Amino acid sequence: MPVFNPVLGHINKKEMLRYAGMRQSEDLPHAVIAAAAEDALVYARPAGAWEIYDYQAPALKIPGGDYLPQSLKLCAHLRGAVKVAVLAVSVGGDIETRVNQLFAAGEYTKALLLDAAADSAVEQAADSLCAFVASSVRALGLGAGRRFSPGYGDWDIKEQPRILELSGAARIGLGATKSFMLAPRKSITAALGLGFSMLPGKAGDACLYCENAGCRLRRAKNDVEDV
Amino acid sequence: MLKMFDGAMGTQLQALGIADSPCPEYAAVTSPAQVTAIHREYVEAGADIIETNTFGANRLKLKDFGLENRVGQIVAAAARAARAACGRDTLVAGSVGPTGQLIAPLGACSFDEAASAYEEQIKALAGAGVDYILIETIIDLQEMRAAVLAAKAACRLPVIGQLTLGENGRTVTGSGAAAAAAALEPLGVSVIGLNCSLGPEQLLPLVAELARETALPVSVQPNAGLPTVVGGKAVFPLSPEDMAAWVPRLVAAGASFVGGCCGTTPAHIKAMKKELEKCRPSPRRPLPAGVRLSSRGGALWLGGGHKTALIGERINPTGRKILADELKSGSLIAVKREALAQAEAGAAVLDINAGVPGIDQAAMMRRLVEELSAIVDLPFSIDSAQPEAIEAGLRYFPGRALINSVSGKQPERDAILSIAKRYGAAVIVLPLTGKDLPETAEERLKIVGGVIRAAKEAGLGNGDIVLDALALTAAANGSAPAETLRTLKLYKENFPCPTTMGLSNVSFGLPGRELINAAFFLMALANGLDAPIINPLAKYIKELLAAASVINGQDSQGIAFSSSHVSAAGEKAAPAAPPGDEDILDALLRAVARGEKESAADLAAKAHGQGRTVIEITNRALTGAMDDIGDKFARGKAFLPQVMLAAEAMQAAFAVLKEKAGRQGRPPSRGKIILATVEGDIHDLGKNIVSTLMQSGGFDIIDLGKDVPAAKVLAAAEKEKPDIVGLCALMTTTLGAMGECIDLLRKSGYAGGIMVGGAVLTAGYAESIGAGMYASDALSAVKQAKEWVKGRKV
Repeated sequence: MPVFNPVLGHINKKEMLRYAGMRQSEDLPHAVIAAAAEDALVYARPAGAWEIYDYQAPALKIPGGDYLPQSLKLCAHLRGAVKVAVLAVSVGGDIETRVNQLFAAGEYTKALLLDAAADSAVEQAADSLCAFVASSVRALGLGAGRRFSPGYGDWDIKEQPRILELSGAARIGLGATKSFMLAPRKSITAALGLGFSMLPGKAGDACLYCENAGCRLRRAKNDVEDV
Repeated sequence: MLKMFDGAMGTQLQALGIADSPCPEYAAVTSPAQVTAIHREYVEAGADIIETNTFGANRLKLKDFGLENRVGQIVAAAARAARAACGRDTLVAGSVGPTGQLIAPLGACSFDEAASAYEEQIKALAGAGVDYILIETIIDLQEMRAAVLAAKAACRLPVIGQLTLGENGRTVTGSGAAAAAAALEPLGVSVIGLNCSLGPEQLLPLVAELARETALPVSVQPNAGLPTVVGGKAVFPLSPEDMAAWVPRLVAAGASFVGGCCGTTPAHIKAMKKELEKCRPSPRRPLPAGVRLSSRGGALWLGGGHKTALIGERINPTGRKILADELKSGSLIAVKREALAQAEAGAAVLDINAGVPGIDQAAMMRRLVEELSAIVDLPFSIDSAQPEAIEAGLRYFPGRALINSVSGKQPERDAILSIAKRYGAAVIVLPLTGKDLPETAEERLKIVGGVIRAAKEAGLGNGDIVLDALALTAAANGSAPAETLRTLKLYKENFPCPTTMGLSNVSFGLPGRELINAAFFLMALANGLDAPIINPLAKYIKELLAAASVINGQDSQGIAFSSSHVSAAGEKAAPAAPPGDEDILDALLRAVARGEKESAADLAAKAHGQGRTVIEITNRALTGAMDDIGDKFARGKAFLPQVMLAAEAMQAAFAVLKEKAGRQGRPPSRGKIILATVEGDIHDLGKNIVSTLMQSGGFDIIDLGKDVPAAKVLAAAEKEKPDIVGLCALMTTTLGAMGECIDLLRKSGYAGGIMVGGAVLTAGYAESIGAGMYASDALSAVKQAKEWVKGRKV
């Protein structure tokens, strides 16, 4: 099971502010935003693991026992895929520890923004990992679709342990709690369809599958964009 | 001299049905005659160079098939199979492909593990008598460096290094033509090229770019176009004639070795060779003068009329106790901050020094270059007096680094020059001999002349040498700065090398050091300094460099200067100070609402000093400000980070009041609230935010933390008798625990308020589990808590 640790290079500040619940940055000092982004680069330890499996809808062909995801939405999402990459990506636990330290020290804004920067960082890392996996199969004529995670639509997060196992997440120190939360928290698992005519994903796609209509982070359909 | 490679091997093996038993490389052992037959077809088609069937014959890749101990056998069989097909003038290239693993820190494979696997394979190829080592289809510059270093250690054969780029002109790990050429050329490769992933049309502009960036011959082996799908299978669409039509254009773009990769056959090679025979090599432009350094993602020229490059000096624990202690403890947090801050301030190169007494400096240098190169994409200057630390820095840095430094002192001089040659590094030459300090410019010139001669004997050239003019302390020797400036001039008159020096020594022991350093900086630039070693965050430096670049023409017509001035002017001015006649509590209210922590603390102290009571200050200014920002938040005019900033400012003001007045006069608590994230849930940022704003709203908070069992919540409720218990859950999987906790509280007779919140909660669900209050956000939680306790007291 291969490992790829994405290089972040920068933190997408626009996304970071969105995760922090801000629609614009005009009212926060630039230095505060920049400091949180810098902190995220210092404390993040981006790491990713993945494995590619043959796919014959609706099952991933796994030696020793196929995996049949219990999700109609995922099945629809993987239409046209001939292979599926199962991915796990994390920015590690140090950044979370730092958020807690900041909160305990009364640095609430820094903590809030660093937490948001970590959200942006893990999304960026997941995008990098998807791009890397996509490039690895390009010579086969395959393209990658959009990533789809447990918790989207009807894909129950109870399937998280199997996804972690299939992605080789243990290699990057990623596991789940008894209630199926990823630990470290700033982590993502996903399935990525690989096929001859898959349409590439865009940032913000997740909102298209999420049923939490009242979410403060929810994007309108026309807000889904390359960021 | 134009040469034709062969085409694809894998697809030919597949066609014969011998590619999967168990891997293509093993076919040379099991079916040598058939492998020879494929080679022969290519030779007959006109290939000048054929490639051994050893693409994946390294032990890391062969391990997948249980063949990791058969490298020697497979390579020898493959080389024999190729030789058997050769014509009189056919040459054989030993094919070396990727290990299939990424190198740390991007992957789980160590640099040394990859280099050792490559060395084993390349030794076997050299032993089997190949003519070239062809390292191909490499997607990561660091893996290419490992393979080239292994080739140089294993044999003296010419090395061809071919990377695989995407249509964006970069490898998947982010290296483009400039970074590749800058890193590989000094390592001693003979040919740099591109193969696989793209067809000739997409590779054409990338070949042209590579030819501009390197003085070496360029090779290109495209796929037969981009794959298309026919009958559910990927096929490479370009016919032999299609491919052949691109050959003259590839040669005109600078390629002198041409061949084929995926989807090409002997027929393609035959047609391409026919075209190649009609071509003449394209003339190549020489590279600019100067010294080129690189990082994983880019390259940078020093000297030769290129832009002044600041070498950031701050990653150096010498004389900096905090940094030294941190490195000693093994933490790199402060160093990472220094790296990011210097990059942000405009450093073009980062000087990396791990010189903490009592630590393993080579091991620390390795950690520094591996971890810092993953967060800052700049060339590094490896700064150490220990040859083994210098070697560690150069080996594990994914680009071409600079050595700081080599002097005339022996035996270190020869040791460092030999390391520089092996790793393709550039060196800073310091005019010292280990004896007396050379006072005059002429003495320094003489010493560096000697070191340059030794460097050239070691195989280095002008493109590898940077000269240090040696800045000494003005306070100790009044003529030292002028002598240093004269040294710069003399260097420029006598050697075609860029210049550098550590500037800040000049002001040591003087007041106003920043001003002295800035003046010296400008004067040194005027005297020919190309790459100052300096703190890029120091006062004046960034601005002076921008201004000086207009004067010396590096920023032609001041275009960059003008645009940076426009954006600086566009930044918001600081808020004006409150007018003198404004009521101090109004000023405090404004400071808190804006989140101005220091002002808020200051104004609170002043207000108390003017005889305002704590209750008045709290109610009118502090709570008033939080109410204001809460209203704005509710109307979508303010956002959570601003609310938190205001809370911080309020608490800063509170802390001052507590100190001034103790508990005396403190406003009474609004009530007591227990907060917890329910069992099974490890999120607590949202709960922490609620806790903060509840405290700012005048409540006493008992925060039980996250993943709290229901029994613990109950025990706390029985002991503390709170007005409200607040429960938080973020995940659907933990909502059940929330309901169970509420059941337990009610069954045990808890009669206070229960408030719930969390991302996946809805008002309907909250009602269904018997929570009396549901808060969709932290401010609504505070508002409801206030209303609830008010209603209770009525």
